[in-house]
Amino acid sequence: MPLITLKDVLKQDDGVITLKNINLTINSGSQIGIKMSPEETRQLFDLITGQTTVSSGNIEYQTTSIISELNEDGLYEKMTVARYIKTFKKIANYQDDINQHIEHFSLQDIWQTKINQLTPNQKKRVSLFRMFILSPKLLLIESPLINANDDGIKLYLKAVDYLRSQNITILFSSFYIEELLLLCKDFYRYNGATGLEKIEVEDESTAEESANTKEFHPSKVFKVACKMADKTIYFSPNEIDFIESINSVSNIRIGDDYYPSNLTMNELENKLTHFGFFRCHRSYLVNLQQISELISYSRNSYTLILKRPAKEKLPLSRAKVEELRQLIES
Amino acid sequence: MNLSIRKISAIFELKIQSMFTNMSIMVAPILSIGFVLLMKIAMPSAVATGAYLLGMGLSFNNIMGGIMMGSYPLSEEKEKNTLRVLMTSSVSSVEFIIGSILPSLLITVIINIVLIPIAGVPVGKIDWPIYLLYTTVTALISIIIGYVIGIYSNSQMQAGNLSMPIMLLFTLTPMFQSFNKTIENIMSFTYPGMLNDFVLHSMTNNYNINFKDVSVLVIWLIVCLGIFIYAYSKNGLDSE
Repeated sequence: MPLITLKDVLKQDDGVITLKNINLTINSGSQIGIKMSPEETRQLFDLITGQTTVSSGNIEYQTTSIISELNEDGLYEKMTVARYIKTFKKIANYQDDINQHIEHFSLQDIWQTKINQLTPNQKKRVSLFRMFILSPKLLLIESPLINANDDGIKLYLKAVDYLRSQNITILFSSFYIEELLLLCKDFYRYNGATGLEKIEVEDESTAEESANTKEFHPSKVFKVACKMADKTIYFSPNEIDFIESINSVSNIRIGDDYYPSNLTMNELENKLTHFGFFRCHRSYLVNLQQISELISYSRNSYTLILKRPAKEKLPLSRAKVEELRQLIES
Repeated sequence: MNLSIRKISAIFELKIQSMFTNMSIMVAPILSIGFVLLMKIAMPSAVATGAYLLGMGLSFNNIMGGIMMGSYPLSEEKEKNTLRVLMTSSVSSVEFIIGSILPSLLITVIINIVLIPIAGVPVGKIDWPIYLLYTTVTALISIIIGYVIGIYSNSQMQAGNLSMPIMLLFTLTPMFQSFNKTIENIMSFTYPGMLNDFVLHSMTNNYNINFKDVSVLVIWLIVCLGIFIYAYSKNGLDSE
């Protein structure tokens, strides 16, 4: 059952379009995650909760029981957890005994502790408990795991599962897809140039099933590894906008961030050609899905413009123009 | 508009607790008692009469305290990002305003009563209904002024900066009015001046409720309420 349906929603703020092309149906029980910036999140949450109105398009409500939480939202630091939760119990007129729920939010040992002595993980769970008591149908939460450590993530996910088992639908937003992968099943990305688009992420269960079949050869599985300090980050080819060679180091470009890779441009080109990448220039390897325009500023120079809000411009060698045309148009 | 007594009382309890734990809010009532005590000890009793001490205590508590108790709790909520949480928890702005004005008013009224024995004024000398009415209305006017400041400030520091000139003007001028006739005349049309006059007169001779004093209070209350409603309808509780 749909709770909220957004159709062609566009929001303008001070004459600037801050959100556009938002088409989204939030069904009851769905587990949606949206990759978007904090400012876009605030705008979207304010629109859905009805605090601001859309500039064009419309939002259909099947429920008005919606609560949103932004990352910056604060708690009353000088109160104990118990006092804080009881205050909101009174506001919400929540009749059940709250003690039976405390364990699901892993707050027993800090129940009588002042909130200013809690870790960010614990504060997030207190906040989640508060929203649970208010019994909404739909919860909108921004980046809850941003400051969480491993244990904090585990306990938060346990609390989120409990909320979902109580028939509360939760939509998460984050700037980092990694965070959403932990919390959600359906993923969207907000792109300032094109709007909200769904990201297809293969479900673990279907991946397992196909892995069991004998004909399966994982030849097309490739992730680009980038070593940052003591950890290695793996990027799927479809996440990458383009790869740029700076001082003979291949830099993976995603959004506004650069991640250096150990592979050379030639090695990357060999591996990524299967995934729709194209060596448009000696120093550039572009994801063809991200191309939005091809411009010729003069007779001998061509430029590719990408979809991103920054409209990144990449050089295109004259010799490669025909090849590119064939690739895209054939 | 449906106002929920349950929610108002929850906000009331919340605010009472947060006020008692916030020293920058409690400094005004504590200061008013402290100053009265200090003046009583330090100054000769011929100068520091009961009326003078009570007048000064009431000025501190009702004017400075009232403005601080109106502006600080609201700006604290904004500074610590807790106002949004309340507003998204089905608490309406009006419930929030009533629930947070009442504790401020209650604390101010209690201090107004406590100041009488501290200033050394015989309890029997006070015309209680008029005293309570006048002091409570002046406190309410200050709290409303404080709320307007609270709407336009996003942190306690900013609220302090904005309220300081108003507080100094209203709190200190009545003390100097006995030295200058013009100041006295002007001040008698302001609510702090009127409050000071009332205290001085009711101690020296029998004070009779008069049209001018009541009109000054009513006009100030209406004008301040008007400014508050204008600021609120234009910006909500948050001017950003």
